[in-house]
Amino acid sequence: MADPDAEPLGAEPVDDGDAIVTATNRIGRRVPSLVVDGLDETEILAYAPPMVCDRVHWDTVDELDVRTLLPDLGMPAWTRQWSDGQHRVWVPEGRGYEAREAIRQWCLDRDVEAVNLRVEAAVPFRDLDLIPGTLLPDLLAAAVDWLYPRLYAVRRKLVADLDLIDDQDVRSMMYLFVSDHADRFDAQREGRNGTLTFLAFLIGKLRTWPQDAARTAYGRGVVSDRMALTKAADVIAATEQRPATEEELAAALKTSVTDLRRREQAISTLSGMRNYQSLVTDRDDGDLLDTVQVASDADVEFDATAHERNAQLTRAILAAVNDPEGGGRRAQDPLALAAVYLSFWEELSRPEVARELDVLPKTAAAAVARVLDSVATSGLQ
Amino acid sequence: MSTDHPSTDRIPVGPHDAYAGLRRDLEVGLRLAPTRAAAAVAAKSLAAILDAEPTVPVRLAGLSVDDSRVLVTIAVTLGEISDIKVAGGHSRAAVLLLQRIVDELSAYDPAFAAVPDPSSAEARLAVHVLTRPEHTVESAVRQLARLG
Repeated sequence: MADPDAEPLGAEPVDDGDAIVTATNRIGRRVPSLVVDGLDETEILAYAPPMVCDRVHWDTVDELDVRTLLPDLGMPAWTRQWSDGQHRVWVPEGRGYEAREAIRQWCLDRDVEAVNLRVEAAVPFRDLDLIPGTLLPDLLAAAVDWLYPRLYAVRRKLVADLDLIDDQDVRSMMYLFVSDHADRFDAQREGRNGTLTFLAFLIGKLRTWPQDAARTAYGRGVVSDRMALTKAADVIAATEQRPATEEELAAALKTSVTDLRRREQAISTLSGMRNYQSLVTDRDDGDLLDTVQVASDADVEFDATAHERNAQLTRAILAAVNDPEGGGRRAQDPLALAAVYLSFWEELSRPEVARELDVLPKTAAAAVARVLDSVATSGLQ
Repeated sequence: MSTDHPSTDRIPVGPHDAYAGLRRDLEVGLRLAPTRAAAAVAAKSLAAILDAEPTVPVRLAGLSVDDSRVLVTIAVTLGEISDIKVAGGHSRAAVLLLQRIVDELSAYDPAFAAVPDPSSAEARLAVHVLTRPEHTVESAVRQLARLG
């Protein structure tokens, strides 16, 4: 298998090594123009000159070949498939809303259920179908070959932020991303360093790719929470050399532990929806899952304070059965402790408790009552 | 709390006179729930207390993790039933040991708990730690605290 990080073959970026000041005021190098099959990218893209169009964008419940729609629109129109599978039609600028209504009617006439028809006005577009032969796929492949080894941080973030995405998926995802954005490349845009090259344009788009992909996958609020949690955990790990506690994460997010757990549950739920294959598999004996904690419908506030409340109850019971001022045998009441423990932690009935302790039921009942009276007067809720 | 395996299930449950002639001990489960960061210190403190009170039998009954906490469950032998009934010396010593653990380790929320079912994962992990010479309770707790 070819090394994905290897330098590309067949495409020779023209790298003149010019130092430039970037848009963010850093010293950088000019991003080269691509040369494919002896043609410079400007020559290749000249086959599909840039236009400004209105874009109509929608989805359908059933399969639809949008090319069958174009001749019926009554205006110049182009379509191109993006990797998200939704339908897009570009029409001359200013005619987007007219095209939308025509598309709506066309779908109604043919009993096609159109969903969320919307118009994006004045967007850049190139009809890439005009590029002959394999020049376009070769150009896209050359772009990915150049970008992939140089955008390590973007690749890492994509794998870290998105479940189900592995390292070996990123190269093909990057190709789709480049292919989707190729028709938007506006080569005539001038910046402080001259005309934008195809690679420079793509680098600008790829910078926000991981965040955009994560927000598309999970929704804005959940992704923001996830990023904030990861950031807080990283800070604690870096400064304290240990995992962050729930209290610290809650403080970092300026929220309560209960709310933190709700947010973590939302993240976990969404992650679980995408990871339909459980990461934890049951072993042959089936008991391993006993130790795995999963988000549930449990009362998170109750759970968050359960350890503390149980400890308070234990202290109150011990105070009832251990009175150092009692003196002698009366200072401790192990029978009462045993009766309460068997009643409430082993969940035995009163006769069963009596039988276990080899006492009369009324003796067991009296022992339990002594403790309960004391606990009741301790003010424990 | 489990009803399937009460702490006395080592004794066959049956008619009243089925116990005749048998020594019957009662164990009480006590669970410490330190945070992951404090788990190793809690295990060491617990060991120090138990070392100082060797007359009361105590065994490690369960080890597990619960979100941000490590759960260490010990089974303290309260004594023989005959001793418990009359508040004998051994069962009173056990109560005092429980009191000392609860007082001195209050930061780790010690609380009564059912003694884990011997077939449960937490009980089996405890047995694993106790039967492997390369493990100590403290090292096991440290490892548990690191679990995601």
